[in-house]
Amino acid sequence: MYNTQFETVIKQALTEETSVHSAGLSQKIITAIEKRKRAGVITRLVLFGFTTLLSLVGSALVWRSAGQAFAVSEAGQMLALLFSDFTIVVGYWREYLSSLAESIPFVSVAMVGALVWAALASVYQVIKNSFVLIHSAVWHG
Amino acid sequence: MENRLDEKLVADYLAGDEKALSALIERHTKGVYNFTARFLGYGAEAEDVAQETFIKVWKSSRKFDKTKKFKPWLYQIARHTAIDYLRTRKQMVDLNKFNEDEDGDSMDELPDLAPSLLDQLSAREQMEKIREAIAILPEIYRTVLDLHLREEMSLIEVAEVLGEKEDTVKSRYRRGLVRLRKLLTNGLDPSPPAGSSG
Repeated sequence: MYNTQFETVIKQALTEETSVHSAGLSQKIITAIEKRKRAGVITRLVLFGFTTLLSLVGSALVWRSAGQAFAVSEAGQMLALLFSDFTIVVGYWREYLSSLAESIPFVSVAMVGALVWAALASVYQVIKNSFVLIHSAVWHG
Repeated sequence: MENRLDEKLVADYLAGDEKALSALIERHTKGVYNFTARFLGYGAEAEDVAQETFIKVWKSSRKFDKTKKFKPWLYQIARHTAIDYLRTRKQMVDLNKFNEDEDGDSMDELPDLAPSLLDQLSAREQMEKIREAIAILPEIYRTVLDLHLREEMSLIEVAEVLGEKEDTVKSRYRRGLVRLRKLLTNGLDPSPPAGSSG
């Protein structure tokens, strides 16, 4: 069993102890966190801005080569069949799908898709982080 | 005055309420500062460590286990931050100081606190004497007393902060009280002659 009277005295001594920290330590801490948050947002803005730029340039380049690859493949002709001989396509749909799959230049299409996705995701992040930065600037002057 | 619970403030902050974090910081700055000052002494270093503690809390707020209490988690981070700081300052290579323990004091040996001892002093002197005695207690006892009595944490929470078993913390708490009482009885002499009685 603890000696509660003794504990009470100790507690009193501890709680009455003068805590000499600089005035506004809380505010100093909050400001330090805000600064780090802003630094993080700016870093992300730069990073995603750069990624956006790279992926857009990459998309444009890959788009051209994908277009060429598509042109030399039979995929265009296979797709044209959809409009010219739709009943045949429906009648032989399994063979049609298999031939279409073989003719599509998947690598080029996948590259274009990935780069466009990267560009869109980066643009989204740029917009989001810009909003955060503007919002925090409004809040904190 | 913010009256939301700490855990609610963390949840609100994670849900996008930026002011909840400020409220948490304002609520706990003094306590965390006092706690870090136990390791580093009052001053700029303790302030820096308190600041670093809250930055870590902010950074790892998503890792906070919502089923647990916030305060022990916060003080656990504060403790680790203070110890890391001392390590980098190379002033605490000997971590044994923080693990020094258990010299066989037990509650059975606890002499009744002679009222006359403290009664001889004025209230202010009493408090000063006790604070001096606490200051020369080994760290492991001081921390337990501080967290339990000043920060009003349960001994289970203190155990969580220190990463120790509850029984160990209970034992340290009792021994801390015994040592403190001995120090007060022996006029703050940490090593009284063997056989001396209170």
